[in-house]
Amino acid sequence: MMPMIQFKQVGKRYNGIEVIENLCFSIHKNDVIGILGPSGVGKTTILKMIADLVTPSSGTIISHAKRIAYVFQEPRVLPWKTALDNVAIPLLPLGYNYKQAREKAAEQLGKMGLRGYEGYFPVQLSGGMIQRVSLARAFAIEPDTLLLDEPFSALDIGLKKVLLDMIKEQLKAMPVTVLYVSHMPEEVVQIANRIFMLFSKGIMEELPVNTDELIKTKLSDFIDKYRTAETAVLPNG
Amino acid sequence: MKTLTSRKFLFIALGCLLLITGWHVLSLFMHSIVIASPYDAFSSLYEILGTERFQGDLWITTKRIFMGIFWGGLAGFIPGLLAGIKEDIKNLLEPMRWALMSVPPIVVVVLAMLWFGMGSTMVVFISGLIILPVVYVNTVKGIEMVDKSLLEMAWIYKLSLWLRLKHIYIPAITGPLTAAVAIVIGQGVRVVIMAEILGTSEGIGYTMSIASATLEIPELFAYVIVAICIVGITEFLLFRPIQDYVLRWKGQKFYEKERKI
Repeated sequence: MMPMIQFKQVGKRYNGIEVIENLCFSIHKNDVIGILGPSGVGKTTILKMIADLVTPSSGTIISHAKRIAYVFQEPRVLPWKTALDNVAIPLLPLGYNYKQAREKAAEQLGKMGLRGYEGYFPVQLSGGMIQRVSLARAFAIEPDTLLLDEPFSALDIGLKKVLLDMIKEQLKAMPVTVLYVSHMPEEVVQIANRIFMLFSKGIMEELPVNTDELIKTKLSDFIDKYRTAETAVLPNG
Repeated sequence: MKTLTSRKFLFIALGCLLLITGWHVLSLFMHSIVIASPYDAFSSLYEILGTERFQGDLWITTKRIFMGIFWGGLAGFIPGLLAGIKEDIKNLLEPMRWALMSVPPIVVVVLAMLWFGMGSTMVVFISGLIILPVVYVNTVKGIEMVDKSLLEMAWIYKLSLWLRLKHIYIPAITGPLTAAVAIVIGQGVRVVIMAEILGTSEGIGYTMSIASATLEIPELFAYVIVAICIVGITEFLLFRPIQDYVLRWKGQKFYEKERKI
């Protein structure tokens, strides 16, 4: 099967510092990939390169993704637009007229448990609600690729679980290729069917996880590796 | 909310009272040919208010002020948007901005009189030209300060330039622009009146020049009160409600219902 996204010896340098070096990996259609790794190893850079926000310094990325949605760590909603308009606006370039876009946005906000909050501005909503607006915006465009960049890092455990369950529900209804980047293994194992560990300089290791039991067994080894890696990485590397 | 509004108006009224008191004290120590007392000025204002000449002058001057603000604002806003988005356009327009900001208004007045003769076109041109760089600079600065993370989001969701302008750039620059508009209103009134004093045969400025030449000092001060009223009324009845509407998202309070989740 042809990969949806393929990294071929991809490198990325920031101000002369090699963050990623010769990165090779493939993602297939409807894979739900979890990428774990300590801060500063280039997890976000990988997502940004897929989204074409960052250009690789070397190598090639072959992407067949046609419609990408990105949920950022901070929700990046328009503060001067209501929750409804924040979800509706990305639909406009897809050929929806304003009325259709708002109908679809209202439906999507409803799925995210935000019915009744359509007319609220972000400043009136809590962090969890704003992140749900951001998720609703991502799912509303019916993406073929969904990039999740530590979307729940600023939220408490209870809320994180609620939102992860919402994403799982959405993915059941609408299979999408997902890249979920996090430094929290507990989060990633709940959603991913393939998990990669990213070390410094773009060294990536896939954890062969097949069953829940295996996930649990491997997770302890993995967390040990992770902790070691975390202490080895430069703070801003 | 009601209490807050009443408090706001109470302090504005106190400010007016303070100004008038200061003016009155000053008039006690200076000759009436130099400064009219508030009583004389308000009496003169009361006398001229009902006259046809005053109403005609007020209409002409107000029209010129709004035309000047409109054209100057538009001529500053559109190049400001383009310059904010494209660095090359900004660099291209920099010398023109320097020229407009450094040429003394009196030179602009003399040149405009030569180019357009006496009358409304000249006044509108001058006020527009003085307002243009203020709006331009604030628009460019506003665009440059647009949150880059929102632009990344717009790139991901493939928002066209038009959608970015409509939903990101223009709302984002509303804040800096409202500060500019407050300056522009005051400046517009001052420049229009100055241009009318120097080169027209109608309008508040022209009447002020006649009052000054004939030493009708209370009438001169009455027209100063009119000019202040134009600024105040424009700001409070027109500009502030628009500002409150476009920036309404800033004043919203955190909604308690969300705690349920």
